[in-house]
Amino acid sequence: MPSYDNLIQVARSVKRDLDHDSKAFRSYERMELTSRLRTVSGEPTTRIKLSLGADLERALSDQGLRCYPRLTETTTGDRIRIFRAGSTVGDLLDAVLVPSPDHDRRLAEALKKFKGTWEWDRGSHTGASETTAAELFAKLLPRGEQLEYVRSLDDPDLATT
Amino acid sequence: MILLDDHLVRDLVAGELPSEVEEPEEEFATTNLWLVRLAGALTRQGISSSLSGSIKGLGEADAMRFRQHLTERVELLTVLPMRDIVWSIAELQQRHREAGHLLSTAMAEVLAAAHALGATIAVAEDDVGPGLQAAAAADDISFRIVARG
Repeated sequence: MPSYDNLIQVARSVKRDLDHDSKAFRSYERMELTSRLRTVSGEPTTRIKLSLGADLERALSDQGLRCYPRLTETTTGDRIRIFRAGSTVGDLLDAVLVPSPDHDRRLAEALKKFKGTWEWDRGSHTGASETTAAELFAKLLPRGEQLEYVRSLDDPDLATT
Repeated sequence: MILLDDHLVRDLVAGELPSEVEEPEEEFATTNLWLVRLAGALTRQGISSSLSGSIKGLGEADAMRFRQHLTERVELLTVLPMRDIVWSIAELQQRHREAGHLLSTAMAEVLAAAHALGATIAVAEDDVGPGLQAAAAADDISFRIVARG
């Protein structure tokens, strides 16, 4: 039976994955976590069943991580998504999964933001003649202006060398 | 993963990224100091980070969506925190200086980030650093010079 230290090692390896790629979340095959646990525990037949799944969730939580669906509700062959507690994806999941007036408001705010982004990026609802945010950016910072700025830098730390 | 220079980040935000770099499944990264240069160029154009600040020629609504667009695009990029790579930057700068490749701190950060992320470095053809290109070749880091038409 793997020890809690083994579970902490697996949780830390997941956190390292997220830190390395500067990600707020990432999906894993459940089997990937089982393989890592087998490696660190030296027990090649270990399986993450109910009790071990709950302990691994606790180890993840100690690293500031949560997962959905829960390990205790999934089985071999399933995928789970691990995310940083307090991140936007965590807030969104809570807003969807836990019905409450506060979460209704959060969900509505998120949808509004998403819809706004969609409209601005594609100009779908703003009329064909309206300038998109990307076009505004291109107009405000033409390539030549940026190049000239970089060439004018007299800071040796920022220079292109 | 492709590490974009400040010119290509500008192109990404402007929706003008050359097609040879813009692949649907590709993940992009950049560096702290390339972002500093981009912010410097924007500041010179009269664009501040202040939410209430005006932007030359833009009304309030356009200024707000301009800032939101810029923020969202930049948030999509992977940027390694400086504290994670400072030793690597210093060591690479020293090692390559001794080998005759002059690297500014900005270029040493690029090399350190490429090492840490296993990324390809992509730079705009009109601002290629000879020291960075030589150092990347010496360290077996993939280096692409991107034509922008």
